[in-house]
Amino acid sequence: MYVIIAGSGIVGFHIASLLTEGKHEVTVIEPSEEVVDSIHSQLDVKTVLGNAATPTVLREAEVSRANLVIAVTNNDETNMLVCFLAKELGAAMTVARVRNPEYTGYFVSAAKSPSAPRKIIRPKSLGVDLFINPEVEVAEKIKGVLSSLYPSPVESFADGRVQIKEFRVNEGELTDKRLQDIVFPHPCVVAAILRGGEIILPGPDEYITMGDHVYLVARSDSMDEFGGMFARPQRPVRSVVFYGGGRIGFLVAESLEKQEIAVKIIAETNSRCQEIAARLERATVLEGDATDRDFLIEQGVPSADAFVAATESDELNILCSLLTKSLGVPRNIVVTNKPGYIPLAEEIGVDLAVSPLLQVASRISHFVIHGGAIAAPFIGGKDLQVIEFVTSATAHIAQRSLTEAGLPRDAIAAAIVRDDKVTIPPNDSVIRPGDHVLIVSRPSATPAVERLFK
Amino acid sequence: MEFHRILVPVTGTESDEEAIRLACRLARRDKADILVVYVIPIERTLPLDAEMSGEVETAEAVLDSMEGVAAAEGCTITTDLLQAREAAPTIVDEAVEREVDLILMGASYQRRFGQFSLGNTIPYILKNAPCRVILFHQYSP
Repeated sequence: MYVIIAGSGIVGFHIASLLTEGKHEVTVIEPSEEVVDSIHSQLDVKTVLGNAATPTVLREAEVSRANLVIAVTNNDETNMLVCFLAKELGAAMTVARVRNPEYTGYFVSAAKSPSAPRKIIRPKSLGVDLFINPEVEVAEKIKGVLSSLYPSPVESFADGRVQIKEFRVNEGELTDKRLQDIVFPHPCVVAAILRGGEIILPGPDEYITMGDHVYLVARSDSMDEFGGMFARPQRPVRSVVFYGGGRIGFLVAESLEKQEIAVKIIAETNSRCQEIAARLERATVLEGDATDRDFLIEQGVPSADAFVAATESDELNILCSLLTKSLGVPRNIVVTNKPGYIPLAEEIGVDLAVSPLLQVASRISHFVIHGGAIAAPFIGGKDLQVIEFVTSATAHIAQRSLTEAGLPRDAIAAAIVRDDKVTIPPNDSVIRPGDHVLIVSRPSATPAVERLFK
Repeated sequence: MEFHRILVPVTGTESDEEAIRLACRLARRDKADILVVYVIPIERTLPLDAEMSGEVETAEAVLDSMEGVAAAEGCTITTDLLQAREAAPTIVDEAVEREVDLILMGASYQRRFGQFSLGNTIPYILKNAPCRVILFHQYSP
């Protein structure tokens, strides 16, 4: 697949890096010569120097044959213009990073007469097929984790009917048992185990050990019942402390306020405190430094149910989160721009580390997979991908069973959803066109899986 | 008989997909443009400009799915979302305004008072359309 990336900031660079790992042909458009040199030294991609929001530069990047154009410069308007031009010049699919929600909404156009039909102007008519907002994606993820009894990430598929959830094994009951000897309360598939930073696709003989991260696929309505087998449920969140006055903290705080959850926001500058206080109705906004232990105790942070560190500094986020954990806050979540920090942070006691980059990569990853993939988020960092395929009538796998089709060694089928019927684990019945098939695979095996659904 | 612009009104029923497939086949032959329209009916208690976020979401999902069906057939379609008091006159107006030469619509099997019924929209379009109309009846065994 040919992909053009406009803008090579943190997000653009990492998307380019992920795509080159998947053997896609990538061109990065960047106005700074210095940055272009740095990309050349680190990635095997083609670069075009210039402003991506101009037809000349886009043509130079051969936009007419692009399967996907991803606009991730720092400016919303530039990103939309890039997508608009790219679409007009022949790109098949466009994705823009847009932070301002005004641009992603619908509005009703004026009509010729009071009784004439109104045309609804859709964001799509701007030439953007998908709007992505890393901050909103991360905020959604944090909200999901805060509303669950287990502070671990979850991804939903097949219109929310099936989920894959990560559980950290803290309880002794299951340890040193083989998977085939464990009696689960509902049908499920243990899709992967993260042990010592390494992903294992387990067979029935695999043992579960203390500290493992188990990725379990089950029906969404029964997911919480599995949690108790791996870890002790935590009390529902009634109060949350945020560190960092950025958009992520603000978005989560705004939504938690509506659920009557007490929110405290610690920001470092007085002007940001004033700004947040003016926009949130009930939140307590504090000016201070969350690395100051006395300050945290004085402000009652140890009695909070959760602490979310979302400043611009990854190291500071991890440090503060460990400090609050030592003060007795049961759940801590950090936002990090460096995906490499995630296993490290979780190893040393952070409950959940979320990366805006991986969230964005997860949102757009299915566009680079052929064969009717409609979602393909990464789990366990970027070492495992869960792909939801909608089987087409012409797919290689259609009218064959999973065994007949032959999945690659590094991939497993986790669920089949036909109409409203969810089959977990999938039996060996014939896959029919229209079936949603959930495959958990290592990125290296994804091309082989993709071929089955083409 | 040649068609250059085909209008396909959709409502999110199972007959829509077949109608789109049929439109794609006709369009491929004549290199015609396909315009797919979803009309959100607005109750008279609400202003015509009312924000119908839930309905817009449903409509967007239907139009997305139609784009997928067309893509699988190797066609590109243009989609439009309208809100109006009544769907039928809106579709006819749209056909006039866009100068379409064919309206192709799907009809599911429905019963009203124990009798097969086409509802109100289809008969209105059949009567008032400014162009040819193909009605695709979804076979339900």
